[in-house]
Amino acid sequence: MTPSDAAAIEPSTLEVEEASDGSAAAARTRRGIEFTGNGRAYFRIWTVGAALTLLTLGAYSAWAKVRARRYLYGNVWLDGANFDYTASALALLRGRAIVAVVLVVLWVANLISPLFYGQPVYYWLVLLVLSPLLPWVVVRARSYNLRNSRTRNIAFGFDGGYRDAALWYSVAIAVAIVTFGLALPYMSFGRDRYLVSNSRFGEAQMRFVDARAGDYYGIYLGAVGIAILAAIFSAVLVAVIVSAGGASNPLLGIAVGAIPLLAPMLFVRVKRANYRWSHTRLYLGGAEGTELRFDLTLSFGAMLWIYLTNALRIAATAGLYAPFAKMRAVRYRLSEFRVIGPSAAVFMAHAEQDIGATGAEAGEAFGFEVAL
Amino acid sequence: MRIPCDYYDGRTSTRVDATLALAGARVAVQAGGFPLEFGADDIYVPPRVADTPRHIRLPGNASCVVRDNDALDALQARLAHYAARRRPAADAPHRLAQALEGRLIGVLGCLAVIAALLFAFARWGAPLVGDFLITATPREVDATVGAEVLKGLDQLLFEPSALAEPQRQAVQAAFDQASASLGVDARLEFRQGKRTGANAFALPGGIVVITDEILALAEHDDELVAVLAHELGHVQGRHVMRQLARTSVLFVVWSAVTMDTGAGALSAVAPEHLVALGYSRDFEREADRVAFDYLHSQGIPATRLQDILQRLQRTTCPDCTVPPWLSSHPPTAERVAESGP
Repeated sequence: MTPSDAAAIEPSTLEVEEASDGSAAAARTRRGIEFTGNGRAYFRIWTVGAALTLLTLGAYSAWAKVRARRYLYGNVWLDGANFDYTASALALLRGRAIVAVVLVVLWVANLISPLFYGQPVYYWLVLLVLSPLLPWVVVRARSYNLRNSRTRNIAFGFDGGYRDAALWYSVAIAVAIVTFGLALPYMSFGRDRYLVSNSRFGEAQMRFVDARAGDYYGIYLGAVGIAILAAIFSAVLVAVIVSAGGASNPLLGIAVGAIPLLAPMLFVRVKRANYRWSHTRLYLGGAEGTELRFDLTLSFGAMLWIYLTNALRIAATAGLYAPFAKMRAVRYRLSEFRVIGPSAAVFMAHAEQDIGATGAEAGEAFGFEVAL
Repeated sequence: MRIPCDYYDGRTSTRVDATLALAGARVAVQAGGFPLEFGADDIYVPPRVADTPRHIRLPGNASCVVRDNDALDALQARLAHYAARRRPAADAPHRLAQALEGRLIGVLGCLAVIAALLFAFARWGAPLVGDFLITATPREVDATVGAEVLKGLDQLLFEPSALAEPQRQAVQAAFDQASASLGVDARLEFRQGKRTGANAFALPGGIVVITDEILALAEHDDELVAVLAHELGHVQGRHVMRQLARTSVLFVVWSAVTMDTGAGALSAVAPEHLVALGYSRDFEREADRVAFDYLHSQGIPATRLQDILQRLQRTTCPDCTVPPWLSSHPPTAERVAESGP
């Protein structure tokens, strides 16, 4: 399907809900996102990006990332308009260079450090010195990614403060450790509320409404149940492999058995994303009932199936399937996303200022997924 | 030629159906009855990515979204004659990528480059980097790792040795002589192999474990000397540590290449394992060479190692059908032949 078909197909996915007062102006439409990306086109972008990245010892990776993101965003359609990723590859390259220096310093510190109870002293010292930067990384990563995401020529934005970031990313993790993880669900709740309620689309503010910390405890409790089931499944799987004569190679058994242990992590990610979007509102500043609502209905089973089969296909094709795997996962996630609210809403642009990419790249290197 | 586009004024999200055309040396945007004109230097056309609609940036944060990429490319080429400023240098890599992505030969060439580089990295790069890392690692680390591994094996598999003292002393003497002659700092541990059966291991830090079962399997003392010399070859080359370092380096690079797929680390297990088996076979050959050299220096025929290897294969798996590329050791027949005359 070509992008121009997207607008034509859209009306079929619309479901109009009449507002209680029945007025046409307040009619709320429920509509999905159209994704027009395909594996073959992305395969070309990914292959060229990977080859040039390897040939330039990583320098090209900034351009590869921009091209991949621009392909993904450019094929996401909502209300007849596509998204755009506007980050500059040069800014990303600067950010990556700084992060690479930090990683090399950490690596060298680990290498030359004397051991104290088996722990590299210098390595932990460097991490300790860098740790106050964590809130800065969180804020910058979210700001940079949202600032460079736009649709209908309106950019997203993030106005979260450093103090709240320090509370929910540094203090909260310490509390979670001290309480043996009991505070972990509350930390997730606090982080989601912080990230959502400080985000905006143009001048329209996002809010995190009717969310309760108790619901996060429910999600983590479910994950504990999944973990127990997965551990049993894993043990049985390993036993079957060993008794079937695969014991000569314990590595294979461990590898196959370890996979189900990742299920609880995926469970939390899926349920948390569903919950976060279902409690997110986008306020245009107009009358009550004109705000946009969202609905994400990812299924844990479907996501687990997609991830496992993707991993197997990537392994079986020596990596060639990787770009198709990415498209498959994105297509599923977007297919479960709904926007509810007036489709003719007018959004106002926000006066923007430029943000460096170092924080965003650091966020990525250390595994903070704080994008939209 | 007028190119249809969606025009946004930079202040609101309201879309206006518009057209884009070249008017002399300037760009004309006809948006809802309002003609707008811009100089060639005032508009920025982002590089093309596949056939994704492009968001052209106009002065005053306004924007034009064009779906017809071919028409836009043509317009941009003609406009370039009138532009005083060059296109941003940061866009040059995009144009190279675009040229490669658009041609089948370009994509296939890139695939070939990736395959060649990954092969070269697995064959030479990871061993080089991994071995360098181990050279830079103090030997005390080996001893710590080895002690931990032995502790784990003792809990999981082994039982204390039930060997009679005179035989133990004889084996120990042969071991001491070999390690002194090879200049290796090593110590010998006797264990009952239980599930591991007739076996000998070299752990990091110079720990060599020999099982009662392999001692029973030996029909000549020189066969044991051959096995011990082989394990001391592993110790001499720090093979276990180098194997660990090489596979870690491989894993990191593979994960980086398949990153962003949500399955990178998981999919790394199988290919990494295959390459790791290759390193393992290389180390076995190296240890065999050390053993053969030592046997030669002691006037012991190389056939002693061959004899016990063949007997080992007959007892452990008489009709093994593991293909060579799935095995951690080279085929026994090949190892026997390697010893030469």
